[in-house]
Amino acid sequence: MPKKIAIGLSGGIDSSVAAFLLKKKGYSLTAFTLKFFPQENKCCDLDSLYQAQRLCDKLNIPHYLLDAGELFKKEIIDYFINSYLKGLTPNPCAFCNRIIKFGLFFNKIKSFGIDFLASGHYAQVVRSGGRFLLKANKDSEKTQEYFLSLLCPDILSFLVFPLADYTKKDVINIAKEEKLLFKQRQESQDVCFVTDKSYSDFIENSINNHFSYSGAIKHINGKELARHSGIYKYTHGQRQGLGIGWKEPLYVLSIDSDSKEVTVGERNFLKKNIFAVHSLNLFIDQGEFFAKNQEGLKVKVRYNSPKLPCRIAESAEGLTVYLREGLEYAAPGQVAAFYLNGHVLGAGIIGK
Amino acid sequence: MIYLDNNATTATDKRVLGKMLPYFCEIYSNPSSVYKFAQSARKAVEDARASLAKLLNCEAEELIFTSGGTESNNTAIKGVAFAHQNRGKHIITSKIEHHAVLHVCEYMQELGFEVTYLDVDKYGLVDIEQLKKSLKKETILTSIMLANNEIGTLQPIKEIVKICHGNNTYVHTDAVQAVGRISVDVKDLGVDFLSLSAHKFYGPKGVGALFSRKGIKFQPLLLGGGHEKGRRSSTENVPGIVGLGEAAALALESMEEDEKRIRPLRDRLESGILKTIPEAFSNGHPSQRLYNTSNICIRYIEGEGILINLDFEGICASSGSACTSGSLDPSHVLLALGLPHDVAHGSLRFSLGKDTTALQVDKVIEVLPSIVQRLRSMSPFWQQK
Repeated sequence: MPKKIAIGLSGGIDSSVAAFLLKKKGYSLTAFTLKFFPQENKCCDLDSLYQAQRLCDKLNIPHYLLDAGELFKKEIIDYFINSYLKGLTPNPCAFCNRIIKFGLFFNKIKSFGIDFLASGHYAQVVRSGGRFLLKANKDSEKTQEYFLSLLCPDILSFLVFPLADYTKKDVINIAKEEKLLFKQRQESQDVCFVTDKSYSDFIENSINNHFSYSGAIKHINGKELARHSGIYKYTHGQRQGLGIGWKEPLYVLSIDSDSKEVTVGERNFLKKNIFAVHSLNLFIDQGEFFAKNQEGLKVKVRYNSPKLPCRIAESAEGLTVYLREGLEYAAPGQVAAFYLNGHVLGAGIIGK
Repeated sequence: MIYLDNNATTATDKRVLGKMLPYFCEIYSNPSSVYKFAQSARKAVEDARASLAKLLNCEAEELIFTSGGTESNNTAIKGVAFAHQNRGKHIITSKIEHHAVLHVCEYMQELGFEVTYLDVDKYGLVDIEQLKKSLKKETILTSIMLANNEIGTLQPIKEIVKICHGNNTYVHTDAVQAVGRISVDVKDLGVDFLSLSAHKFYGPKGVGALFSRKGIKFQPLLLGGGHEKGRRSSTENVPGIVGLGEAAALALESMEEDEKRIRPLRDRLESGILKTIPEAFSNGHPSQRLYNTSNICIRYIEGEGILINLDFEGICASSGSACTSGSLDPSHVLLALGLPHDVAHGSLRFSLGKDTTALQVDKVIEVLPSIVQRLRSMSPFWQQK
C-alpha cells in the first residue's frame, strides 16, 4: 500500500505546490483545509477555500474541511490578546503550528487512519543520531523552521515537507508552469486573524475594559514623560509612534502589566547579552541539550534576526542565555530557538 | 458509492431528465411570447402545474413556481408580513426550522416585526400549549415545518392550522422534506402556504413551488415582467418546471411503494447501529417521523471524524444539514431538543432514498463500529468517562 499522507491546504501558493509535488510522486494524498471561522481571517477566507477546492479538483485529491474555530479562538486569538495585555510580544504562528496545524490537525488525521502529515512550510526534518530534528530548507531567504520550533517532538518523524529542496522562486515557477493558482492572492504574512487597521485596534475591539490598561510612560532614569491610553498599544523594542520629543530616538524597554507603566530609553539600553528562557520544548534529551553547551550553539530570538553564538545555563524555570559576542534585543514572549550545525535542538519562550 | 444523504438532495430520476431534455434545445420558446411556438412551452408549464396540483390536492392556479425551497419560504414569510402588517406585526415559528425560515424571521425582526420561536419537546414536536399562549391579535402568520430535515419529526400541522385559523392567523409550512415522500394534502392540512422543492424528490435542482391558497394576498418577492400572474416575475424555468411536474407525477405513483421499501431499511440501519455501538441513541420522534431519516448521536466523538472516515469507505452521510458548507457548529435542531453541546457535536444523519439497498445498509452497519471504536480510542472524553 502506498504511504498515506494528509496535507494541510491553506489556499496559498506554498501548500498548493507542496500538494502538487506529493501527488506527482504518487503518494496517496488526502487534503484538508482548516477552518478558523467565524473570525474574519485574511488568509483563510472563502476565496482561499475556493483555491484549495479548485486545486484538489485539478489534481484529483479528495478534499475536506476541518473545523478548528473553537480551539483557534481559545488557544491562539485569546493567547495573542492576553500576551499584549500582559506586556508580552506573542508569536501566534509558532503557537498555531504547535497547537492547531501540527496539534489538533495531526490528531484528527490519525483518527482518520492517516499517519503522515505534509505541509507547505519551508523546512525539513532530518534524521540525526537516531533522532528527528528540524532544519532550515534549501532556500535561505524564506525558511520557516523557526516557526516550527515549538512542535511537539513526538510528531517530527511523521512530518513531510515537500518544499524542503525548493526555493520560493522555484515554487512560484512551478505554480505558474503547472497553472496551480486559480486566484491572485497575497502571501499569508503578519497575523492572519487581525483584520483591523492595527493590532492595538484589534485588541481594543476584543476587550471591554480597555480603559483600565492606561498608565505612565517613564524614561529609564525615572522621569515621567507622558501618559498612555493602554499598554497593549506598545511592544518591546518599539520606536515608532511613542509621540515623545527627545534628544535621541526612544525605544520601549519594558512594559509592566501590574503598574501599567511603559519604560522607554535610548538605544543602548535596549540590547542585552543575557536573557531568560522558559517553557522549554526540546527535540533532544534535556541532559544532552545542556551538554551541547559548546562552540557552535546559536540562538535565534525572532524570525528576522540572525542566529547568535551563545552559551546556556540551566535555571529553575528553564535556562539563561549568554550571548558570546555583542548584544541583542530579546522581546519577552517571543520564541528563542536553539541551533547546532543548522539543526534546531529545541526552543523556549523569552522571559521578562 | 453508498449515498445516504437524500435529505440533502436526490439523484434526478432518468425519466424526469428525459422529459426535461426537449425543453432545452428544441422547445426553447419563452412561454409568454405571442407566436405558436411559445404555446408548447406554455402548455408544458401548465401541465406541470396540473401534475403538481394533483400531488398536493390543490387548484393548479394556487401554485407558483419558484427557484426552490428557500425562495418559497422567503416569499411566504416576507410576502405575508409585508401585505398584512397593518393588521399586526407578530410572527410565530419554531426553534427547529430550517435556516431558510429562521434567518428570514430574524430579518423580519430587524425590520420591526416581533417573532416568537416555539420550543420543541425531546422528540422535536412543537409545544402546542405555547403556541396557543403566543397567539395574539397581532399574529398574522405562523410558519412551522412539516418534516424536519435533520431528525425527520413530523409536526401536527392540521392541529396547528385549526388553532391558528381560530385566531385569524395564516399558516405557512415548509414541506420541502415531505412533499414527494409522504402524502401531503393541502386541503386536508388546511395550510395557507406551503413550500416545496423538486430536488428532494428526484427532480432537478433550482426549481420549487409555493402553494398559496386562493384569495390570500401576499407581496411578491420578485417584481418585473409579471410572470406567474404577477406573483413571481422572471421568465419561467421551463425545463426545471417540466422536471418538477414529472417528479410529482412519479411521486404520486410510487410514494406508497417507496415507503414500504425504505422504512424497513431505515429501521434495520438504525437498530443495527444502536445494537452494535454502545452509548449511541437516535433522535426524532419514534413514530411521527419521516420514514427515510435516521439521526443518531454517538457520544464522546465528533460527527466530523465519523463522516470523513465513512467517506473513505465510500459512504455519504451528513452531520446535520448540508446547507452551511462545512458548518460544524452543533445543530440548532439538536440543541433545541435539549441535547448538550458536546453530544450534539457527535450527530450523524442518514437519509435513505429509493435506490438504497439492504446490502448498502448492511455495509454501513459493518464498517461503522470499527470507525467509532478507533475514534473513541483516541478521544480523551471516551477515556475519561
